[in-house]
Amino acid sequence: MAGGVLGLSSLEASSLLVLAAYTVTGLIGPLFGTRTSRILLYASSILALLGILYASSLPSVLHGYATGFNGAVVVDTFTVYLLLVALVIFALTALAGRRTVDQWEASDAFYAVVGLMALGLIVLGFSRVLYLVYIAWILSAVSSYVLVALYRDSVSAEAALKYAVTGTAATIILLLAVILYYGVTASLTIGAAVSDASPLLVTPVVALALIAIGFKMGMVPFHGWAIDVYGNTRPLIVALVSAIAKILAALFIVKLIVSFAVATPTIVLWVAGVLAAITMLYGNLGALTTIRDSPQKLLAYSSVAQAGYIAAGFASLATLPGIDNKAAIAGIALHTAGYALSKFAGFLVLDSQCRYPNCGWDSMRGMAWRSPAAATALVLSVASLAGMPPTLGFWGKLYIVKAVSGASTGLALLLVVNFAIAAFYYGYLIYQLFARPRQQEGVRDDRSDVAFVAALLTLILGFMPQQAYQLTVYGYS
Amino acid sequence: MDAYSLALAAVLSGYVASLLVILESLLRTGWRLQAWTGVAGVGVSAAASLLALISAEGGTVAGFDWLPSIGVKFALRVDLVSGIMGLLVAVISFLIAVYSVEYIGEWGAARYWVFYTFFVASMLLLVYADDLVTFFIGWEGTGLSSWALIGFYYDEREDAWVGDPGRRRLGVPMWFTPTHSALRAIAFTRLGDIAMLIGMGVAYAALGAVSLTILAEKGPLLAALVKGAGIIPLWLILFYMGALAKSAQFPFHEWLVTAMTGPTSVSALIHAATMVKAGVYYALRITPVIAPFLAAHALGAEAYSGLAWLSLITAFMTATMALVARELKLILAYSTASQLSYMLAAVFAAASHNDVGEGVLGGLAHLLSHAVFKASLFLVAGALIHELHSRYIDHMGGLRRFMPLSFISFMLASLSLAAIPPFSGWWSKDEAIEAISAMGHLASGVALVTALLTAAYTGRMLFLVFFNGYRGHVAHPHEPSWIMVAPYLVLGVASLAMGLTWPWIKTFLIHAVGVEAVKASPPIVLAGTIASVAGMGGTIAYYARKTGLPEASVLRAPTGVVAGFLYDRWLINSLIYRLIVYPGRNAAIALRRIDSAVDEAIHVFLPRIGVSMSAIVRRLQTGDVRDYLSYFMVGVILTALISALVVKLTG
Repeated sequence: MAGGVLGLSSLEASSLLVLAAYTVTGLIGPLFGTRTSRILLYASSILALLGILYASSLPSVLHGYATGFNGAVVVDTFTVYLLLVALVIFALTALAGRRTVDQWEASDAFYAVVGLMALGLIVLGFSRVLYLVYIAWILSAVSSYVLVALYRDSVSAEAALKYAVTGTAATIILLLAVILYYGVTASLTIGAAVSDASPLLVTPVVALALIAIGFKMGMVPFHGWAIDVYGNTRPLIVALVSAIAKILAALFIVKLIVSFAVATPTIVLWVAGVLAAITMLYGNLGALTTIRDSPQKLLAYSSVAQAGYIAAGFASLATLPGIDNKAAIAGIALHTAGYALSKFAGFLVLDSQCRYPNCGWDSMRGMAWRSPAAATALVLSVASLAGMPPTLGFWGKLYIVKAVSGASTGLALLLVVNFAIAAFYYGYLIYQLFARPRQQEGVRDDRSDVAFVAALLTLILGFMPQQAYQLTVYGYS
Repeated sequence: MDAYSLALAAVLSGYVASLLVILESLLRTGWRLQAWTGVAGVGVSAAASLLALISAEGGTVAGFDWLPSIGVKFALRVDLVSGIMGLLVAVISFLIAVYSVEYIGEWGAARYWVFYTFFVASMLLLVYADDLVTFFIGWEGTGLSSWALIGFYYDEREDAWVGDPGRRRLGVPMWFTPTHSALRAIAFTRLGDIAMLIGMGVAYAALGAVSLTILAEKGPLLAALVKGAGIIPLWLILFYMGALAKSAQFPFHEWLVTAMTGPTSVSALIHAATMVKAGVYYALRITPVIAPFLAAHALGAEAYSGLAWLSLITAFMTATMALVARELKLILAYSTASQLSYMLAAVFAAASHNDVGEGVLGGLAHLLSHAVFKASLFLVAGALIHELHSRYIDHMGGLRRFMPLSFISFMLASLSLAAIPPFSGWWSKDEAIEAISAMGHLASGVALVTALLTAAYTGRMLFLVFFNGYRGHVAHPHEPSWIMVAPYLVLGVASLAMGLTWPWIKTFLIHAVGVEAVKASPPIVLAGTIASVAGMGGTIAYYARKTGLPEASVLRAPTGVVAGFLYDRWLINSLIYRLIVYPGRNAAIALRRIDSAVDEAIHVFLPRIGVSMSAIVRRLQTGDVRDYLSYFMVGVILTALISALVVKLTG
């Protein structure tokens, strides 16, 4: 492994390459115009995909994890799995934007900011020291706010402001969590043994980290921004932001909470469990009446509900290493990946089929005849969100329920009840696609084709769920 | 042609005729063509069944694998018993078909003839069937035709009703319209059929196939398996319950009583001469096959004895009802149920004493003679009711002067029913009582008392209809045309002729059933004869003394406690309705209410709850970022509280 280029290990070399590619995309690309920026984003994403695939093929990663740069970075397969999904989404974003984003006033900035967001995500995925986690948070958070604001209308501006204001509060909370983390472990390294397991110190770390991550995912009651951003702003941007936010949250959780779950499982269970219960009920109940106004609002509330499911998976991390713990990790990975791909596809279809900013139900009716690709993408992604086999969403929910039932039967029952409530509005959405009128005129465009590919991935990846059982998390090693 | 092909031809010609009538009806041919098509189809059946009987000596079983994967064959068994039964069914069907041409006439002709021929074919199918699945198809075919023909007058014309309109007992109406009666018939018999299917299913599960042949071959295995499972009495009762329902045994007899809403020709054929005999026939065929194997294990005697008593009770009960009935067809219906009970009681009683051969002989003998004389009685009754426009015997009287041929037919058949020597009924009832006497004096006693009652109600019926003064509303009743008179005259004379030739007939039946020696018990013969003569003579003497019967004495329903109880059929119908039908209806209504409540809960209340909760959630989403930050802080506090609580509780 050692003795590669310039004395770097293969892991170090490939991570440097990926970071460099996205840095170029983010900082230099805009200088050469929109087209170059887009191509750079696409190229860096492909390069990053290859690099991470290469890194993940290293024997040490396959057997658990590998570190580099004197222990500053670490790669485990859980991270690799989610990063690969995220990178596919970045590449697809570059493809989807060709005829749409390119027409925007700030189109070059869009691709550049997406590049920076990808940079933040990769740094987070690789980080093994606290300050890298914090840097990744800032990078991804700021780029999210900018992206939301980028469309430059009043709705986007207002939403971005809410996002940023709430985000600032969350950042302060995270900073507190990081400081206390250091206080407890007396080390900047993630995954170091907890030196002082006094509940008075450990409890706030877990609680504060959960709050910060809860904001990122849109968990209730830290969710206020999420409905406004996902439900009102340009769907194409929401497609990316909502997908990546959940992946970020899933990565933060394994960086900041996993090692404490071992020390204080009950607190993880109760805090995450209660928040999960509130969140899924809130999201699903809220979504029920969205059938009266807007499909985009429906997807926004559904995002909150889905955050609750992932949070339930976090809660079940309290079941310590063992088969239920493996199910929890597999569930979080599959569900997050399924969520990201289906929400990306779903919002992209809305962007292609709705006339923004008026995305009403009339634009959904008869889509199956008007635009079969878009309708198929929406049906597949909604099926995955609703948990229909054999999509990723089904396996994710299955593993989460399995893991949760090992930790708390009540929460598991609540999960199932919530799946049932959600089936109504997801079913309604699918029904609308096949409802009259059946006009034949419709346009094919890049966005629905890209959405179709993403939705198809939820199906294809759904055929290999057992791989998720092999996923390793560094914090448990 | 071999016996199998002849039997198959007898069955198929009925089905073909049925299809032809449908075709003719679609082509809108006249009703006469449809009627004569039906007559011709049944005529061919009669001829084929005669030829089949001639070549039935020795017995043949033939057919083909129908559903080989589950061991079901289409198989017909032509032996002397099925040959005799087939001929009886086909010939009586033919005679009644001839009668029906004019009796039914134009209204509903196509419907009548489709189901009539379908019935004859189905009946012959069950008669000749060897495989019990084939048998069951014929069995259900007869049930279907019975239902369709009981409800033939779907316009609910009052002439066809049974019972006195307005009369209620225990709050239950005691009058029955054709469609109501049709539903009763199919519901009552279906209960028994389901039990029979379960019984057959047990045999199938044990043997892998069910046919007379298989039962005869593997009977010991079946007996051992059923014994091993410890379900002998239950299985036997289930296995026979279809027969009990079809042959109108208590408490199923109620369907037969009200089945009289059908055309009288249907009552004569289906509800007297043939279909109701299917249950008896089933017992005649199945019992000799299974009873010996059960007896070898010393099993089933109690169950058979219980069944025999059930039949004896039915015989007695329905005979008492016939004593007070005012409707001519109703008297005949009670009588039919009563006489069927003799046949079944003979079979079951003999089976309970391991002497099933004699029971089969008694059952078959009485089946044969009863079919002939009862068909004649019904056909005359149909002609009378048609002519006088009333179903009440109160409106008849003195008819021998107006309708001498009908009188002769009716009298010959009545004397046979009353078991007056030397009519066929005298011989055959004696055979039955001989078999019943195996159960002891009490059973013989009940059978003899019932014989007395039979003679009494027959005498009453004969006297009130044909003797004394005429009480009808039609000025000058006429004999119907020859095409109607001929069939019942033939049948009436036949009941005398059969009586005169009975020693030869009996020899043939003994040969057909395959029993060795038949003992005749002089005391029973003597007692039976005395009962019959006394019953009939006494009743006629009683009524004859009341010369010039005042109309008022007969024109109302009985008011006495006992007479009223008998007139209301021992209140059995009212009790069935009170205890089963009405609670069932109420349960259905309750379930419908529950169903609509559940429906309302799911489709109205649940969505309403969802909408209101959703509204609360969405009201929180104000769009004001200050609210969002407040929620955030609430969340922080909540998290702190939960953490603190957990730390406190877990120490």
